[in-house]
Amino acid sequence: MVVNDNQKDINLLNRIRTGDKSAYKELINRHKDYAFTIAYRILNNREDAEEVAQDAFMQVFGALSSFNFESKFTTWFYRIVFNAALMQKRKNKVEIVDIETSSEAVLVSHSSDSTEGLRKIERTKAIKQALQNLSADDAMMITLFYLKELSLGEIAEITQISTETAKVKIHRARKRLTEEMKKMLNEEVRSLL
Amino acid sequence: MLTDEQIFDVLDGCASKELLAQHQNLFSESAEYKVYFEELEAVHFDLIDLPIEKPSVQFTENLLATVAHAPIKKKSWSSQLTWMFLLLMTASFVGTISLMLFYFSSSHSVIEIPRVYDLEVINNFSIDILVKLMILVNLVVLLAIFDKKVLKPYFLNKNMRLS
Repeated sequence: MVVNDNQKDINLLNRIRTGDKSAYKELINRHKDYAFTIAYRILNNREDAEEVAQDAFMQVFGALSSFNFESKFTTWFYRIVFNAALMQKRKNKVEIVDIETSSEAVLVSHSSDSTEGLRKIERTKAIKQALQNLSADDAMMITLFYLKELSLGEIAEITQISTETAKVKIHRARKRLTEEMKKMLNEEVRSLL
Repeated sequence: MLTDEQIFDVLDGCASKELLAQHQNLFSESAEYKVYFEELEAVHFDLIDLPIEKPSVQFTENLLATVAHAPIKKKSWSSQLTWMFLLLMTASFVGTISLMLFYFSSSHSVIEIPRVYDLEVINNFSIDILVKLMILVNLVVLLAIFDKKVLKPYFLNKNMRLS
């Protein structure tokens, strides 16, 4: 019998409830990357994102009794990560720019080579930078939409808005991202001239 | 020209047949549209290819250590407030009915509350004050439940909502 992803999560949660220590590790390993990515896209800081992802897991472990086992675990979990990241974002008064993905780093790396592989890496860096320049709201919408190909209904549930609003927000976020990319490319061309 | 929403519908693969036909027509005829579409398409595919971020290698170990030091909390008394309240009310109700049945069965005319001669304090305690006290306790418990179940989630939700 094929067990789907959500059923696997539910099984792990049930094992955690019965005190199975190994289930913690399995659940963490299954979702840590996505939790971290969501938090990182909102916070633009690795340390903060890691802390938020850890807090989100702790919240999950502490609130298992309030989870409705008929609903999808990831929707509930991503909402916890999303809310925790937003709260952290509000707490952070000073925005710290990650040196690795700063615009300077992108510009320097652009001047290096033009092979296909490198061009792809550069574009990825550029899009990451553009994502960082977007609002937390926009970055979050794009991340949820592309990261795990969540449905509009799920995104709406995580962000607690209507499906229609979610669709509009995703469109607008992508449009702003395209504009941001264009702006970055123009700046890059100007700096090279 | 198609709107951005329509172009994204084409890219997401959820465009109608009419919209797709319109897009193909514009794509082959309008150079301006072609450039704009390709711009959005490039971003779309970049986003699809965007790798997920990885936390530090000690992430799981750190988290497991935290879990080990902070075992899962049992339900706090406040989370069981509703059940406590309902249990108390049920007990009071059953007690009242039992007392009524007991006194009605022993005396058919007047309900007489037996006096406890040894405890003067209880005898002096006014029934009126007791009733008021009970109402006050119930009111406080009800307000606590209302605050926990309605007000707190509402304001928390309001704060969390996307701006």
